Amino acid sequence: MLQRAAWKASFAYRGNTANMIIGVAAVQGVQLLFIGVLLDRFGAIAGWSTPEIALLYGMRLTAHGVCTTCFGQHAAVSIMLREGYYDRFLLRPVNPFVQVLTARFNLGTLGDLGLGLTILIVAAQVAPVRWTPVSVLFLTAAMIGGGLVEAGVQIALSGLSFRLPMLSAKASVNTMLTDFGTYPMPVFGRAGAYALTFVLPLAFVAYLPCTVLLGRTGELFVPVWLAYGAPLAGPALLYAGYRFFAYQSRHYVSTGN
Amino acid sequence: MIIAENLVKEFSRPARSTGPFGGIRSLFTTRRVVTRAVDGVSLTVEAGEMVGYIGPNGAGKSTTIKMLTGVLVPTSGRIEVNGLVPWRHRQANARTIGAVFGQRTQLWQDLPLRDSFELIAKLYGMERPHYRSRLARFTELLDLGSFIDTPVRSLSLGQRMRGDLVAAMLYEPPLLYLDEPTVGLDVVAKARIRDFISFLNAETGTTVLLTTHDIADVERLCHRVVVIDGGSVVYDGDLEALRQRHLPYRELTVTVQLPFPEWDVPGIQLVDTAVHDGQATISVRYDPLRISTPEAISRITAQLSVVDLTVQEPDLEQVIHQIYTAR
Amino acid sequence: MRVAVVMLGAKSVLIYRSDVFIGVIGLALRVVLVYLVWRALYDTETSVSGVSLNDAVGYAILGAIFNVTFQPWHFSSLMSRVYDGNVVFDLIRPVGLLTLSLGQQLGATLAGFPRALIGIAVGLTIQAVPPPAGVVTTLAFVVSSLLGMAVALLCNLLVSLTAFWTTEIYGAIMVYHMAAAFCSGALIPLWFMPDALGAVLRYLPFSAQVFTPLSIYFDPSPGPHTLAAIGVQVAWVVLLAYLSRLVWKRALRRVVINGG
Repeated sequence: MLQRAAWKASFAYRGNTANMIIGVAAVQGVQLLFIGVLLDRFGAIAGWSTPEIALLYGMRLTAHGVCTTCFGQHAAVSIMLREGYYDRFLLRPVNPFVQVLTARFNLGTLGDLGLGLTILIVAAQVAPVRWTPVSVLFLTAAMIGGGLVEAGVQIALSGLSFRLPMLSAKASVNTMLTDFGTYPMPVFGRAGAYALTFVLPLAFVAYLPCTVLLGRTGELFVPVWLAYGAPLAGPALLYAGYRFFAYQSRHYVSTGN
Repeated sequence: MIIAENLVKEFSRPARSTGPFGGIRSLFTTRRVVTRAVDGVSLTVEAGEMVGYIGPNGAGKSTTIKMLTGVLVPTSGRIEVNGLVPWRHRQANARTIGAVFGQRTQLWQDLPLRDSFELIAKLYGMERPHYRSRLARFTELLDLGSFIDTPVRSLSLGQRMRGDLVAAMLYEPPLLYLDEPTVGLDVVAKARIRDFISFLNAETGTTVLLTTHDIADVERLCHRVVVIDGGSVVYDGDLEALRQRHLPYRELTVTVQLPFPEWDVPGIQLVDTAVHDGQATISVRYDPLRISTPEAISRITAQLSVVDLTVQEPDLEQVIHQIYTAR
Repeated sequence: MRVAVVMLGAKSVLIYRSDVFIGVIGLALRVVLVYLVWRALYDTETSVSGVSLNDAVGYAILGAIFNVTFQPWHFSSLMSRVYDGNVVFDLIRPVGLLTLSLGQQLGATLAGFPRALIGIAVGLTIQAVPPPAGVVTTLAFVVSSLLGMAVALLCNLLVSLTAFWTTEIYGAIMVYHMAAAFCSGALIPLWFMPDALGAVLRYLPFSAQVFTPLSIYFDPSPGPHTLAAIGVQVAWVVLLAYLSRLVWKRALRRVVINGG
């Protein structure tokens, strides 16, 4: 134990692959169990049947996987700031944001993506969707776009940690995305659905494109073109998140030691 | 105050397999490797002493300190500190000792320094007025005023170390263990901490056991030094005697006008000569037991026209280096 | 002296004001969202598995509040102290490590109480949480909640003690977190679980954390079975406390003999 100091120093957010995968499986497994128990009791959620919910779930998890595999490292920013690791990024002639993202690739994040794709493929078989090259292309674009949406939000939040010591806030937004991303938006009522579309852009991650695939655009509370254009929201939000991060990083104050 | 006899500490760890799948193989192996970190250390420290406990990395210094503080149980040997066996009476022993481990901190990182002091005062059952007056005194001595309400995480290393020292001495333990208290500090911060330690010793007779890699700490604070290497004590005694033993000569550096005659000063040997700008700088050495320093100087000035003369301080760093590499 | 440790634990949480503030907003939002989801789930039904809409919604909200209060993400500073070696100072205090750790954990949990009370107030105001049935129910609920907290603190302590054996516990911690959330009945009441699953979960200490106090809250007729449920919680507290001591003794032996 007393020798483990070096270990900690090696990096605060280590964690080997197997461990990460176990963690990911636990989070998503419980989420699956939760949805499973609900569907078992209630049969449908806001008129969406089990296969439809499964498709929505698979899409959300895949998008989340895209986010964590490509941008997962932003999560460590607040730790890097607190422990003073960020300093060394500023000393190198490369954009610090790029360095944050590439500081260490965690294979464990592939767990999200793998699990998401598995569920997506299974759900695609049972969901009432007529798969055509166009719809598959749309799905792919939507997944990438959804991942970018989530990344944009997370990166903006990471940017906030330059100014506020944030320990749990990001985690709470994260669990919010996990816990409420899997419901059809009408569940939240009109005000809730608007909030989760335009304040926290959760609807863009999976719900909006999913209505297009399932032919459920009739239930939409927003113009239909927004659902068709949902994949485009990804790059826009990612760019906005990055600008916010870059702007906030000017407030960086290094820690004392 | 401290009595340690034949202290031995062995660590046993599962043997690491190397080669392919080494990590996995070592999970299933039952082979264990035993290393002896401390190998028969005996040490007695009287109340009021300040003892330097030095040795190279991995010599067993920290392991010894951990046994003395009660954190580690010795494999064999006897320890008694203030009449208690530290590991057996860990909590009772804790009241009579203060400890600073330079690489670690006992302060609560998220909170202002003051909060850590408050809690320590309560943990050790200090009376409020006593706590207040002591903290006021320390605040003045170590100049904590400007950062006592700053969260520990934002302190500089020097500030944090001062905070750690106060935390260790707040409840007035008669015995203080310092494990590398000046590591990583600048000269000013080091001087401040040394002053504080010698003040504690002078004012309240605090016994201090100090490990360090900075020989200047020892020179400044300790008369007695214990050198440990490979888990055993290789020297225990007066600092001056250690110098005598390992540096059997003194050196003088003399600057003289050119030309100077053939060197022939009885009892003093020429070591080195360097000529520059019409002068020569020569290094000479002599045995201080045979010739006193004033005598050596007068013999030299009698023969040469001396421009400048410096007596070289015997370099303790060099002594320690000799001891370490001699093994 | 112990009070001081608890205060310090609370202060270490409250000092991050932005975090506290965001936490309150986050919880209030969660209360509203949970409320909406469960109402939509019931749709036109009035009773599912013998549970009325009002009770289900109220339960889900209280469950969410209990979960964030009892199972904070950083539930103990013990693990990080073991990693960076600062735990050595805990070993040379005149107070035991378990006392220190539990005191700090308790403080951190108590620091979450104002947030929890705000959450409950929001729930009561939007009439999503029905008011408690009577004095006896309220009293039993409070006692049972405190016991639930004790069970949660002890479970968390046991998990953090594993840091003395291995540093590779990231995955295990996640599993524990999720298991605690699901098995305690904080996400879904055990009433809705398939019978076999529900039966198993009732025998785990997790259900004593959240499900027991909440089912007391929604029990229209408290009686001897209420006391029995509280008795089971007390038994868990005793058992887990004993277990913690046992584990700590072994951990200590490991540390003092082998330096960890």
